[in-house]
Amino acid sequence: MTRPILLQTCRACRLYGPAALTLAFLAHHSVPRAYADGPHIAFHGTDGAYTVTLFSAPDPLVTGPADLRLLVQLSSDGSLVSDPGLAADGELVLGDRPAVVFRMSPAAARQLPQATVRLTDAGTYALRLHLRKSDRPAAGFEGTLPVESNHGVRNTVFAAVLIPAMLIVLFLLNQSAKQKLRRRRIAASPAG
Amino acid sequence: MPDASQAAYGFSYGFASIPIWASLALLVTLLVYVRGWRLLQQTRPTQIPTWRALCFAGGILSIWVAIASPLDALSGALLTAHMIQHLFLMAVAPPLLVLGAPTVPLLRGLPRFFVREGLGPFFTLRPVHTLQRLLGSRLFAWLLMNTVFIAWHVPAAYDLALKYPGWHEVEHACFLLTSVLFWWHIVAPWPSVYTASRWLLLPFLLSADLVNTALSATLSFSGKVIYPAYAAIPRFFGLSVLADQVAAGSLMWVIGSVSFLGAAMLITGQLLSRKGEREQERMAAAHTRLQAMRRAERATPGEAPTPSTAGFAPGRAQRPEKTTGALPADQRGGLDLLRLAGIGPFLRSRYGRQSLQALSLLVATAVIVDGLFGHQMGSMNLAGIVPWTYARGIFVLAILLCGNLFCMSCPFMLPREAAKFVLRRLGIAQKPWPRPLRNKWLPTALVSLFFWAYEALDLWDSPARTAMLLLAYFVTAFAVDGVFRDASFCKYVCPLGQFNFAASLVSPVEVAPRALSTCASCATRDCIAGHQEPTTATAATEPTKQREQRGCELHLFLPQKQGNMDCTLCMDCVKACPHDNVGLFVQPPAYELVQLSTADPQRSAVGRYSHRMDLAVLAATVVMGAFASAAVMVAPVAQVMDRFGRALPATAASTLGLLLSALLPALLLALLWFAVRLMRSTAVHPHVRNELPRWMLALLPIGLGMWAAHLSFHLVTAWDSLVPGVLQSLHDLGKTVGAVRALPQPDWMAERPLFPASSLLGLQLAILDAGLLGTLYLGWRMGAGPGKTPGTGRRAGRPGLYSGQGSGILARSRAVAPWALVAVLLYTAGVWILLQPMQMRGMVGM
Repeated sequence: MTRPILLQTCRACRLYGPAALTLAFLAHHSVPRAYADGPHIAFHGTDGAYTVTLFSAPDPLVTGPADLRLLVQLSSDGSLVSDPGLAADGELVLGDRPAVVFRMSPAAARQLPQATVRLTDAGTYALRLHLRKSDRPAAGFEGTLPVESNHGVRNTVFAAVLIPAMLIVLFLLNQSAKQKLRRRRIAASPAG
Repeated sequence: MPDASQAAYGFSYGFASIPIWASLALLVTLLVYVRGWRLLQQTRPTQIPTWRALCFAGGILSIWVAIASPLDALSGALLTAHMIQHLFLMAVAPPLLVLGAPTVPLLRGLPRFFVREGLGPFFTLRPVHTLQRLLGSRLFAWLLMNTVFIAWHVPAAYDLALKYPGWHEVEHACFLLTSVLFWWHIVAPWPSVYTASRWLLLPFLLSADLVNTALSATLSFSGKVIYPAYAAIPRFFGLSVLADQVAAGSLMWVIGSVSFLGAAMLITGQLLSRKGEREQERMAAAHTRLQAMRRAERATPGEAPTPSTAGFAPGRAQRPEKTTGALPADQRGGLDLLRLAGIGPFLRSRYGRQSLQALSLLVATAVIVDGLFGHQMGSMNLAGIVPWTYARGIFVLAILLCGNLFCMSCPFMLPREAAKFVLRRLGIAQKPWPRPLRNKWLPTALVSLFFWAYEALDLWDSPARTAMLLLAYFVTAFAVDGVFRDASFCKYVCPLGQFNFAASLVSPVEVAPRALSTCASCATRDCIAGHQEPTTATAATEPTKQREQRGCELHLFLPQKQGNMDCTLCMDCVKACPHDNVGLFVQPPAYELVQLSTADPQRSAVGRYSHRMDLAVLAATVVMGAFASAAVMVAPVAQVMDRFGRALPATAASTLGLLLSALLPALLLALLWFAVRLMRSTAVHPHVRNELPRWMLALLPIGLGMWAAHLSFHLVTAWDSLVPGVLQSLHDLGKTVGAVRALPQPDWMAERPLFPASSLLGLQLAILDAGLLGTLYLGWRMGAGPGKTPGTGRRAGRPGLYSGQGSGILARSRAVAPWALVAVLLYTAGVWILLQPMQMRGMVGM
């Protein structure tokens, strides 16, 4: 005899449900770290002798930790500036909130000057960047940095991991119902 | 609009604020309805008049206005805006949707197979019947709507919805669904019938209005702030919190009462008219019929149910038989793209493919020139942008959505054509490709080498190296196809081609004969041998020239060709066939792999997949390449690799990377081998060596899902980098040209992702989900019993793995569980990778 469909479904849910929920939970709670997959040119500008390009990650920027890297070039010929005496710092301001101040660490081999900042609120931040040479201002830049909320991202992850589990359970239920119908037809046929 | 502080607090509205998934779902629902409505118009033109269809469209539009317009952006700041949003979801959209009588149009609008095989079995389930009876109860519908209405207005619940977007969406779903149920009982759209007197609708509506009035009055006259969350944020439009609350309460009162009382008045008018009397009589007759049906159902338990009470079950099918007539038994059905206007003539024309190749050759040339002489920063050079941001993503997505377009428009083909032409003129005979190399081992090794080179040489970051690689590719294509016959480079060397061949196993198009009987009667076999055809003479005196139309250079003989392996969509067979018997057919994705679950026929120039371990290794390389190439870009993995890189000498680290690129596919195959061994304990006869390739190919969807998820990220985030890239390239290369200097400077800051962050991650995860589900479905099919040979009704192919082991759902699940575990492990790794921060590895080649 066919097992009752509900029982089969319950068993399927019992088999796959906890695993799916655990996976969804873990995925959901791993999101507060910055996520994603690539740097983005957040700012590009020239002031006097210097042209700077600021890269940001994650892309798009969401609330939480953000990685900023700065490429400094000479405006005249575009050559890379790797002067250890050149320092970069800046601040990010959102409305009347306290400014997020950052100082970029010097460039290491094959790396660009880098800073990690924690952005707690979503909105469009005002960006101010300063280059200093031997502690004297060398150049200044202003721009904006849009930041999105991380809430939507967490919910998306939770939903995206749970949906396949639900579809698998529905599929098993569908197969089970089909099997039951098939057996019922065979039993009802003259040969059966 | 709100004041300047609005932007600072994030209450802004723009394209990025539109919820893409919800908007897409609404659009698809509307399209399905319209399709079903149009089909219904052919058989029952008066059943659902146009005004009803417009009502449904209005209902969908109302939902969209509620969840995607500035109303939603303002709802967190203004109670009035939030209340208008709720009224759209409770009082405007539901009656409009129900007036559209959506049951039959939605069911007919869906693919017939999906309704019959996907939804149909659910309607036979007992819990579904119970739910149907429950939802068919008018009292239950009233209680449900009003309970939900009151519960979500309790301050704690309301604040929860304001605080968490997820709960806000749940709140909206509750309002919409319970209101649709409520209004369903009022309107009873076709094919539902009223089972009780319509006079009873009046207390149904009036009592609902009483609840609405009580809640509205509480909001309007309480004199204190009920929802404190609104007191903690800046005020807009000069409205105080209390004034905002009074305005919201009044709106709810007026609009709610208008909808309930208006409906009550309309129904009363109808009941008092002669039309109402006739309606009552019709209702009584319908009720009698329904009772008779129920009695019959009780008398024959176990039979499939008939449509009943409130119309939640679909009406009986009224679909007429198709009048197009059945196809001959050997004729292939489905959409033939070569028969479509525009696409067909273009692909069949002599210069169709060549024009695509010329275009891609032009782009490749620009990439090489800019790569060698332009800005040496990957993300600001065409050699960084075009191949690694655009081409990879577009061509992988193209394979999954419409076919192997890369090979069709391959830029390396024109030089090799030139090589063949020159050698032919010089009278140099070409050699056949060495027999020991006529397999996928060499190209699979080259695919691994390519993946390794991408990382080891920082190709994404080094325009010059990318340009050199492209040049090397051109030289190799020229050399291999200059020395060897036919398309040896494509079939036995090109790593990009092998990747595409493996990926095209899940592609939804296939070149195939239109009718096998025509092939059977064909004596010339031009599709593989080619022919000489006369060209049009320009003058009467000019002798007629012969032009060669070659057949398939990859030796795929059409009557025995099955699937897309080794097919470059070159269309040579289409042009060579003298019977016009070759088509480009649309088929379900991964159809070839689904078929593999029941039979593994001898394929022309490919053989049986179960005997091709080299194909299994190629598939493993493609699958593991997807995860490895994404993993090395995320911070945790990149940091580990950096540590190793610092600890080891450069040569050793590089060798270790090369070894890893070969070991990872081997690791996957070893895992699979172990899984198949475990499954063998329940199987009838399989030999692991023969089973392994099939189960490996079944993992392709998850691997390609990962490729697509990863590459679509680059496409979406840098979708507008081409214009600044081209401008940068022009400025770099044409500094001395006056016209170039006049061009605007590239605006790199204008780059914005196409989607907001949550939608982008949602897209990536949805693609990975689709890959996992596709893979699990293939595994499920492979674990099933044998299929039937089409047309014969006889069992064919290999015996099912689990024949004789009981065909219960759980037995089958357990049997394929070891293999499914491998798929789930890959999926888990993919989710983890997509959630990690990106490591911005040295972006400038210093």
